[in-house]
Amino acid sequence: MQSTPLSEFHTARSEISSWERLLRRRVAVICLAFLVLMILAATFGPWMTGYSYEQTSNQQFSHPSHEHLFGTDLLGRDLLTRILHGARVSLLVGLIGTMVSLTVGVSYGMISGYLGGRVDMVMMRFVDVLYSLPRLIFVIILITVLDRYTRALFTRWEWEGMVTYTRMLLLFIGLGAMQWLTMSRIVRGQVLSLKEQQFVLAAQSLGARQSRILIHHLLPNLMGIIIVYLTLTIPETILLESLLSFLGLGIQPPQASWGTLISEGAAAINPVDIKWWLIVFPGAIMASTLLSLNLLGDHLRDILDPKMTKSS
Amino acid sequence: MILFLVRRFALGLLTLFIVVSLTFLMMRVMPGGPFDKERKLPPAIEKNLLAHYKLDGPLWRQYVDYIRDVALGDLRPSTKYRSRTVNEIIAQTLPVSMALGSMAFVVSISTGILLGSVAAVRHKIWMDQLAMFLAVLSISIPNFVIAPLTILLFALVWNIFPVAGWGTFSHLVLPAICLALPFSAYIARLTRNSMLDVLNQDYIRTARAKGLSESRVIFQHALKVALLPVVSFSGPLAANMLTGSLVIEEIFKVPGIGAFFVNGVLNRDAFLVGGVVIVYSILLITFNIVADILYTFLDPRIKLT
Repeated sequence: MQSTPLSEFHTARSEISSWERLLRRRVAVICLAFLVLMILAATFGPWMTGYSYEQTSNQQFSHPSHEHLFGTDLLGRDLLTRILHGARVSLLVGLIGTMVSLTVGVSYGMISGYLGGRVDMVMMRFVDVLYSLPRLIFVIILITVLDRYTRALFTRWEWEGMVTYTRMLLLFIGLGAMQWLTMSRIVRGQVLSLKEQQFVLAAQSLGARQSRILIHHLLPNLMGIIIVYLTLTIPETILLESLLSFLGLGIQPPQASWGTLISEGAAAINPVDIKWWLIVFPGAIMASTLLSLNLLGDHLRDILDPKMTKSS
Repeated sequence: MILFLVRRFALGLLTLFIVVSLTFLMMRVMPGGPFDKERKLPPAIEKNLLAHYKLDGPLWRQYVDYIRDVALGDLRPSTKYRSRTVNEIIAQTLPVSMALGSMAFVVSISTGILLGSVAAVRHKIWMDQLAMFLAVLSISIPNFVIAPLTILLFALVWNIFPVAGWGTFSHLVLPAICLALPFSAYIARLTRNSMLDVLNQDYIRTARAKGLSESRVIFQHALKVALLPVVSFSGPLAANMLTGSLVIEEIFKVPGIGAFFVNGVLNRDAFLVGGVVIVYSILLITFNIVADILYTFLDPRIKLT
């Protein structure tokens, strides 16, 4: 037993108790509870408010009341329903966009780090070049171009119903394409040090294939870091989605996301009549979701990855 | 040093070339032309327009011509704003965006470093926790939420600053603060973490043992090294300021380069978009090089290669 390397002992222990250690932190538990609540509200909420997100009425801009808890907007639509519907869209885009970036980033980083040498150098120079581009600008161009393409395609195939969803699909791809760089760098760095360890040598000498070493031996050891950056990338992706939607380049009306709601609220600002609820409610819900995700990510990082400092 | 500059310069030119080519080709393969409107133009007029803007002929011909013009510094006339060239538009709007951006840059760097250092020096006391909570909070509240709220409060309710527009210094205050806020939070976190690392190092103990005053230890010895991550973040920071200002310029109706970019993309204006992308990329590349050079001044152990 004396020969157990300290690092392996450490990882084995922290994997058992990291969930418990998370639950011992009050802030983390509050954040987790809020996020679960938010997901439930986004999933079931839009059916329970009694309105539909595109249902208009003649009560324009009514103040928050018993009838409309969060008030109504320019077209008399119930703001609460629209916020919950927006939560669906925003959370979905954030989650799937992050998953796309995760898949690309992790596999790219693992391959680059594991193969090493010249392949690694070329792959990382490529990442460096992409890093030095104004990425948001390119995502905007990419989404617009692809949008025109898919639109033309769907019109030709007479799939008019799909047009509403193409934007969402393109956002998944576009945001995923934008976010994978950091992930791949972090994973590569980890793999570089992991592959020198003895369990990899053991697997190699037993004749394991490279794909098996990568998936069965290296990936489980990367899970901690992946989870930490997952929680920190989701809020970034949600933020980017709403930024694009705010500029009118993301989700299109009558669909709503948090970004489009806030943009409608900002457009309704005028000195005579301050319609504060149109900004305060969607803004507060969005901000508290992002805050919870960020705080949760920070705590997870403390627990799973004490050495890492935020490299943004 | 000179070798370093030459190499980075060459790499920058290559990046710029790739960026321009990608943008132009993407904008030109997009279905629909720059002159598509609600009402269809007569074919003869559209043909003449395309010829006038050198957008006829095979794509490779257009591309080669465009690259040659760009290399000579001619960014072509805009197809959306017909009477103006892209050079003119950039000359007019870039100073506005730069004024906003540099103001926000100064605000975010100074407040970020100050907050971060205070938090690190007062580690684990309420000041630290408060500063770090504020930092997470301002990263989490998107600036397009903060911006309308500040307009509501400071412009409409209290009447301290103008609602929107451009021209005087007071027009600059709200947008610059809104733009700076999330970045100063990032910097505060970076500074705090690296400052904590540095304060635990031996040379700091030596400095204290020599009997230097605490402020001298922190400002003269620790801060210089603790700022390294901040310096390397300031390259991407400048880029984020530029793109972040897309939203801020929209909300505060600042006549900067951002609005023209968004309109250019939406109206398939390949030249305008190309021009803006060139400007953004040049700024970004320059900032990264400057950040690398600054690095060697702060930490003599690092050599530029």
